[in-house]
Amino acid sequence: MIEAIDLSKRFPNGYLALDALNLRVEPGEIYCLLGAKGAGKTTAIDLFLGFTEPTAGRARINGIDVAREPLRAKEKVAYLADTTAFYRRLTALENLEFFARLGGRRGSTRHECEMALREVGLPEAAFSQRLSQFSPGMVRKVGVAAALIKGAPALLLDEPLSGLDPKAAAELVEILAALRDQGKALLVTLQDFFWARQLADRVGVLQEGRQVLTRNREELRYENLEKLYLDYMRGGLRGAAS
Amino acid sequence: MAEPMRDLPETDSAELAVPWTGGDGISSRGVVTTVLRHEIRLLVGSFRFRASAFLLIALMALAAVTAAARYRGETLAQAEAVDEYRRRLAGTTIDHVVETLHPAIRPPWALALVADGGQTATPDVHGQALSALIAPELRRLHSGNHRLPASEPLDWLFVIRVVLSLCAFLLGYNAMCGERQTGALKLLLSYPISRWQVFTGKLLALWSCLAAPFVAGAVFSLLIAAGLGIPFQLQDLVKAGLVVLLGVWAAAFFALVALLVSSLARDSATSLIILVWLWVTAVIVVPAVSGLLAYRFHPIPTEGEIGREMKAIDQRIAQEYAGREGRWRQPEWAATDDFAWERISAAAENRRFRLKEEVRRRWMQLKVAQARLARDLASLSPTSLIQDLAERLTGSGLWRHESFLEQARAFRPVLAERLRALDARDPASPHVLFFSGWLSQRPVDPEEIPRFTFRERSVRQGLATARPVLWLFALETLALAAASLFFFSRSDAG
Repeated sequence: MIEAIDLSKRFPNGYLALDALNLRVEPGEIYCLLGAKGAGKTTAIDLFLGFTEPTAGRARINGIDVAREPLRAKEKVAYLADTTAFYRRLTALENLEFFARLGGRRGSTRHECEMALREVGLPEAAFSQRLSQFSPGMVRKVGVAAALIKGAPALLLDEPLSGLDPKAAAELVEILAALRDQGKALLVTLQDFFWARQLADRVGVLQEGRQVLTRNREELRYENLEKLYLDYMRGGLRGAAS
Repeated sequence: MAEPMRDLPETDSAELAVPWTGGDGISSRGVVTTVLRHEIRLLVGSFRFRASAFLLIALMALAAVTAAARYRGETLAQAEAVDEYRRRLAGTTIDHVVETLHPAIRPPWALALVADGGQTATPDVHGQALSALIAPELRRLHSGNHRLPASEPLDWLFVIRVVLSLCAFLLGYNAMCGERQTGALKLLLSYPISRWQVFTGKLLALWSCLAAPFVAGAVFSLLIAAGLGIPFQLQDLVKAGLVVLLGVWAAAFFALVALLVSSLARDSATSLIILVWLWVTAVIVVPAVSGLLAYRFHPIPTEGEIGREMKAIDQRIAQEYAGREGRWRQPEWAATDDFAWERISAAAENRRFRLKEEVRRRWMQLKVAQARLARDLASLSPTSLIQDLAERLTGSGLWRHESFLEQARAFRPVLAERLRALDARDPASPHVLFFSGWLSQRPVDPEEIPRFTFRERSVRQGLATARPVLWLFALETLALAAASLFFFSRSDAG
């Protein structure tokens, strides 16, 4: 479970990056945080990973306060971002083996890594290729495989679909949905409402650090998410929602 | 406030065959080992490492070859000088021997490939006659050809100061900021591992990748030098071993500098530029400025000033002896008053010699003090501090030069005492010490003339002299390690 309670972050220069974020992602659920660049999405992810300290509120992973016990919290969460490039001179398997060991996997690591790569649909021929030869979509699959092999109950994905072609994005969305079906809690940040509609069980919209809108899948059936989102991006309906 | 939960509809999805659950966990040591192995794999697989390792080993091998060639050249030149001296002594008399220049020869430096310390440039022979009328001479036997382009001596210290530091910076400039740029650092730190573990793993990997080729190069270099005829004693090998340890320590120091800058810099290009700037400052600017400052604030007299001092001594002697100096008669006339005039003249010349020798000695001390000041100022740069430390440990550099001059000067009284004893055995000698024409005419056995033997600094003495600098370097290393870890712990993950 991923939980934010009045989670806020103000940087030393006075900039309020996140203002009292409240959310709760249950096992078997995908929560999409939508927002433009600079809305506070990555700051929220960084707070859940303990990369930065909150100025107020709490971030919890499986009930563990991240700020108090960052290492214990990190045992329960896997992370993937669009900027994650891994080690380009190593093969997919070598990359995965390294992260599998860091995740505490011992023994038949190579076999498990191969299984994880198969699970995310990476061609067998690519297992022993250097990542420098991979497309962004293939690198992202290796990232998901790393998240799989960590076996964490919660996943944080920062713009996982960014820069992918539609086919690769669709494949990744399917894998993320499968992870949800395995009972994982997924917090996914996106800029694209199209994929949010496809993927999310619930959606929250961030604007200038504030959560200005939340909707669940049922509510989205009867609302025009695109229009709502664009209105919020323009700032016209700020304060009127939720 | 937390949101209330809602029932969620099913979503179409692919199926995952394996229910992935968490691993068994990993110990602190396990994390460091995993990061270490991973980093070594990355470094060893890179062209930068292969080029650096090749450069280190090749330069150390070249240092051995050039040092062995120099050693052979110096040995031959010194053997010729010794033969020449032996020829001059053969069949000579005590009276004649006092005008012979007795060479105190500093032997070739077996550890020139480790720490040359200017041994190939400073004088290695100090010729002294017992006659006060003969000025001593200080020169180099094997001076080479000064028309050839001058270059810094290629030794292990050059490799440590210039090449090892450069290799450390080239291998480590992107260790932190490069991974921050690619997002790998953020992914790494999303695992339940501490930053100190990541830092330690990276440091050990970089250190190993620098130390391993350096140690291999050192062993290779010693084998080549021994094969080419440098006769290493056990003490030399122990000293070389100490410099290897110092090189390994220096590798850790340079790796820490690279990691510190890499932690602070926003990107790899900035990190590389800062490291190159630091390298140029430490290796080129600080030693050059130190030499300039020492020259400015610790000036030494010019040859003209020394010449004027010498003339003043001549005038002083003339005044003190009021024209009674320099009166040498035919021996048969002089014998009539037991050589009274000649003894006064001898006393005047001996006094002149002592005063002039004092000036020469002071001049040399000022030169050494100037060089020492330059070295102390240069020690602000860690690379120069390492050089100072190695020279203290091995007994090279300024110490060997100064020690040679002291030992050579101390040899003159030993020689004088023996000649005095030999002359005293002859009742026919006027015993006007030590002036040719006024001493025993008996032949002298060359084996009775004492020979100069240079005493090198022992390992124990080297360690004792190096202790304060060792502490200073240890403190610098600890401060650097603490700063590197501190800034990495507080740096942005990505």
